[in-house]
Order: sequence, then structure tokens, then C-alpha cells
Amino acid sequence: MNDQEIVQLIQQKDFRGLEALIDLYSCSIRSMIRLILNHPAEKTYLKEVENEVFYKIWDKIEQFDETKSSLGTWSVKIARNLALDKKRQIIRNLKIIPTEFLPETPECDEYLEREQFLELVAILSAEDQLIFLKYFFYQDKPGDIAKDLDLDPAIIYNRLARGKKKLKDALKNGKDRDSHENVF
Amino acid sequence: MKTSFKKVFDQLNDDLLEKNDLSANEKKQLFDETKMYIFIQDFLKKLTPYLQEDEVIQSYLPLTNQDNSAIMTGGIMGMAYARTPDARAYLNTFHTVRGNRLLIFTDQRMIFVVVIDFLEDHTYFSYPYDSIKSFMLKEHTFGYFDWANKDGLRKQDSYYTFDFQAGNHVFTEMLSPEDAQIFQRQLQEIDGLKHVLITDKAKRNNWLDRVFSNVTLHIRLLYGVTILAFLALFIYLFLVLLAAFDIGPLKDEIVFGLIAIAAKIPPLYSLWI
Repeated sequence: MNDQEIVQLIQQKDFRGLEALIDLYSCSIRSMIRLILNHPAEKTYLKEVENEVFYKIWDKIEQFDETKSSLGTWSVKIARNLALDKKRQIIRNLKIIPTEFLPETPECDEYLEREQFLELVAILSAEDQLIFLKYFFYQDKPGDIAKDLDLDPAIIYNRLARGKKKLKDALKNGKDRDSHENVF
Repeated sequence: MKTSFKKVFDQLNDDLLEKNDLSANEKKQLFDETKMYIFIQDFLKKLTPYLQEDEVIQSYLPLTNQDNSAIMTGGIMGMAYARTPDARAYLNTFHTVRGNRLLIFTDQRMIFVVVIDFLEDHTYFSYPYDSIKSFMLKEHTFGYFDWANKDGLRKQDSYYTFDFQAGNHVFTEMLSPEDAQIFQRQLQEIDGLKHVLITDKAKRNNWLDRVFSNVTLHIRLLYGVTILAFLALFIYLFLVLLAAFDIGPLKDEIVFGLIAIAAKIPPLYSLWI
């Protein structure tokens, strides 16, 4: 069964489409979820996220655009986003405190609140979010993160530095916008 | 069933071997679980319009035909119509009729749904907490012989009767020990249920309900009648046995009775004479 047939069956709410999707892409989806939720505290959420991923594919199949990506890529992207959402939620629920706060200026004190930090992280790319969450919340060493993501440790340091700058800018812009709004 | 010890090593093996695909069995299991998850999410979406605007679901107690709870939805009680597309799709996909039931605990009431009935004609039952005075939650134990097990033949198992009256509605279900545990936990966690008395007797608002809407009483009566019937049969057979030796109060009746039967079958009658 090809992608087009699978999509058509799922659109008709025919479970044979789901069966074919699982046959072709379940391994990639599962691997992506496990890659992101790989800490001991997150293991119990694997099944929950997996269910949510397949349900989202089933429910939002109308949004799939074959001109933009293949069904496999689209499905894995959904898995990645949901797993990252869950990772943030777990961090929030476990009240894990980031080990290193990004901005070093006193004006940014309020930014140090966890909720805000987690919201800000969401502006980064999916891979950078994962690196940030692993590094700041789970205190993973850059070497371990590099091993998990199959990247060079230098790239991890680079991404962390680049991400910090991006978050700082975003925070600054947010501050400027707020003070501008207050004037008017 | 795999123990957690084995499951952990399965996972470690997968990691070590960098497994590239799931086995056919794993895919089948994943498909079955996902199919049910999707169905439940859609089902709950269909239920949502029937909740009040400010009503919040706090917990679920799913009931199936497992263990000893099948009595409420097996046989004649398990029959249902499946005429709407939703109900037919459910029947064809999950091959079950009234087995799957759901007790929903909101912050205001309990809602009982038999899945296929809801899909067929949106039937559900609503029990506001303030209309319930007491719950009967009674454990029944029974023993049986496990012939497959050589070590200990005699085994014990149990089930619970769950019964209450809410206004004019009477609700009775059989719960497995696991379901009963979940319910007991919900009793402590859901505010609306904290005031409700737990008893081991079915309470009714009037005597008519006490007699006619009381499954526990009916089951007891059925036990009693069955025991009486067996006792009568045993006494009769004993008297017939005595009559065969030409003693006891039935000796004449039995002999004449046998002659009368034999008279209707000529070869037997000639043999008798």
C-alpha cells in the first residue's frame, strides 16, 4: 500500500489505513519518541505519547499535504513535536529547575522563572529545544547529548551558544515591546 | 504475560541491537491498542455535548466482560441493536456487543454508558451525587477446583456487587476485584462521593423496589429455590430407591406407576407379566 492509499483510507476513517501506517512507519515514530523522551523519569510516558501521535495523525490527516512532505516525514514530525511538548510538560510537573540561567543581567530576573523559560525555549528549532532541555533541565553533559543525537560535541556547544543568543534577543525584544505598549 | 524483568531486558536488547523494525506481533499489538485508543478518543468527543457547560470529568471506571463481571452483559442481557453506521462500525471493528461499559465520574454526577447503546441511540444514565444515599459494595468469594494445577487444586476467587439507588433509578453491576479497588479509590478522591455511605446491603427508598428492583435479593431467592428443587429431587429419588426394595411410602404408587407405563408399551408389558 502506498502513501496515497493510506491517506485515503485514513480520511475515510478506515482502520486498514492505520494498520498500513503502523506497518510502514511505526518504527520511525517510536524511535523519534524514544530519542526525545529518553530519561528515566520520562519512560512511563512513552506509550501515552505514542497513542497521542497516532490519534493526531488519524484526526488531522486532512492537514497532510503531499506536495510538502512524505507521509513518513509528516508523521515523524508530529511525533517529534508531541514528544517535545510532553518533555516540557514533564519538566514542568516535576518542577525541575534549570541549572544555568541564560541572561546574566539583573533586569532579566523575572525571566528566570521556569514557566517563562520553557515557553521561550519553544521558539528554538526542534533539535535545539531538545538540546536545551537535556542540557539545562536534565543536566546532561554535551558529550552525552552529542552521543544521543549522533552529532559532534562541538556542534552541541555551538548550538547552545547560538540558542542562548536567540533567547536573549527574544527576551529583549519582548521587553522592548512591553515597555512600548505601556507607554501607549 | 511478560514480567517487568523480561520487559526491561527486551528493551535493552532492542537498544543493543539497534532494532530497525517492530516484529509482526508487536505491530499487531500496537495496531490493536492504537485502534482502541482512537475509538475511545472519538467516543469521548461524542459524549462531551451531553455534559453540562461547567461539568468536569474527574475519573473513569471502564467495565468489560472480564473475570466474573460478564453476568451483567452476557447471554440475553448482552444482546443489542447495531443499526446506525457508528454502532455497526464498532461491532465490526471490535467484535463485541454490550461488553464494554463505562462509568464516568464528573464533579456533579455519575454517568453510565453502554458503549454500543450510546452509539446506537445515545442512551446513557445519569446519577447526580446528591440523589445517592448509599452504595452497596459487597465482596463475594467462591472456591473452585483448578484441575490444571497439580500443586493446589482448590482455588479462591472473588467478585463484588455494586448497587445503589439514585432517585427512581436502581443500578446494579458486578465488579472484578481490580474494578472495586479503583472505585474505592475514587470514593476517597472525588468530593461529591465523600458523603455517600458504603454498606454491604442493597438500600431502597420503598418496599416495592426492595422486592422487585433488588438483584441481590433475586439471586438469593434463586439460590434458595435451586437448593429446594435439588432437595426435593433427592428425596424423591431416595423414595423411589426404597420402593424398588418394596419399602417406604411410595412402594405401591411406584409399582403401579411402572405397570401403567409398561402397559403403554406392549413388549414391555408382556415382559413384565
